Amino acid sequence: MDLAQRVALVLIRLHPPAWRRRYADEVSALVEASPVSVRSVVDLARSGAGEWTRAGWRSVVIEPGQWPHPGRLAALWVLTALSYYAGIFIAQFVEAVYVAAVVLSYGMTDRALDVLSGRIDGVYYNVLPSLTPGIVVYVLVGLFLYFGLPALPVIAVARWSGLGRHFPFSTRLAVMVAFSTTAFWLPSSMPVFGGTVLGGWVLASGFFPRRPAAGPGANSTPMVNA
Amino acid sequence: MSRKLDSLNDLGRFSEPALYVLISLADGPKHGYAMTQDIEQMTGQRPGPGTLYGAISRLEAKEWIAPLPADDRRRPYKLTGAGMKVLRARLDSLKEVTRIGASRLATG
Repeated sequence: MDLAQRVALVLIRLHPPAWRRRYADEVSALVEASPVSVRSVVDLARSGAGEWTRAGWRSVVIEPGQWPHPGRLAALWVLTALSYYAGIFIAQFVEAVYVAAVVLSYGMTDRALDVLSGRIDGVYYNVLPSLTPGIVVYVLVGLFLYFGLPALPVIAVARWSGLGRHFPFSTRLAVMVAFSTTAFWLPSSMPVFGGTVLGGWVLASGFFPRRPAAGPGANSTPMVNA
Repeated sequence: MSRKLDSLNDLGRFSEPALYVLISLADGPKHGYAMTQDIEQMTGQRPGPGTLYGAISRLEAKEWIAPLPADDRRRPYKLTGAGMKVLRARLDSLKEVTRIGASRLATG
């Protein structure tokens, strides 16, 4: 199997789950049976984007057991955005506590400003003695708040199955709200937000294979029509 | 010709590949690989796997083609009665367009 065929098979796995359940075996057989050109790879990438659009922009109709459903995908986006803002709020709170600790230690002096701007070595050990070793804990907490916390609901929603309830918003609306608010308030944080959501999306799309369902009809789940 | 019946246009960018799939299935059921080869012979261009199955999924959703039991990982498809009507209507439409074009070329 050559590189183009491998890439094509990966692209097939990145199609929406409903499409994959119905067509992935056939398309994989086709890809393995014939030479794959760059044009075919581009064609599959375009097809994947189109099928996600087709599946995601439908009205929200929950079908338990089939996930990620557009409703769950929308929930993923909104929860990611909300938790992201919560993370930033907590990070800013921690930052404010740190500033207060510095000011309490040094008063409103030039030295306090030097400390706050990080120009004095070992400052964290001096002003945050309770966090030992202060700088490591501070960095770890910061990393968790900025990268870990937003990922938690993404992973939770990605693994959320059998919900069976309606969501009052569409994927498109959730995407627009999440991106526009993040872009407006925190344009420099977009890469973190985008990376987290992308990771969640890859998880949610079931890219990592699960054990196939056994029994008759396991591979004949009807395609959800656009 | 009835425009309503010839609703292949509803398939957007897939209307042309969908027409080729319908033509390919007109002489009997075929699976994806056989359709690819048939369409390549017919048009001189090999349809990409994404385009082919994009067309197949849309035709199946409209019930113009129907899947048959899978043979290993290959699943053949057959043309349905409704699909045959749509294909016939589209070919009639194309025949008319061809006739008009040819007559204009002859008189031009």
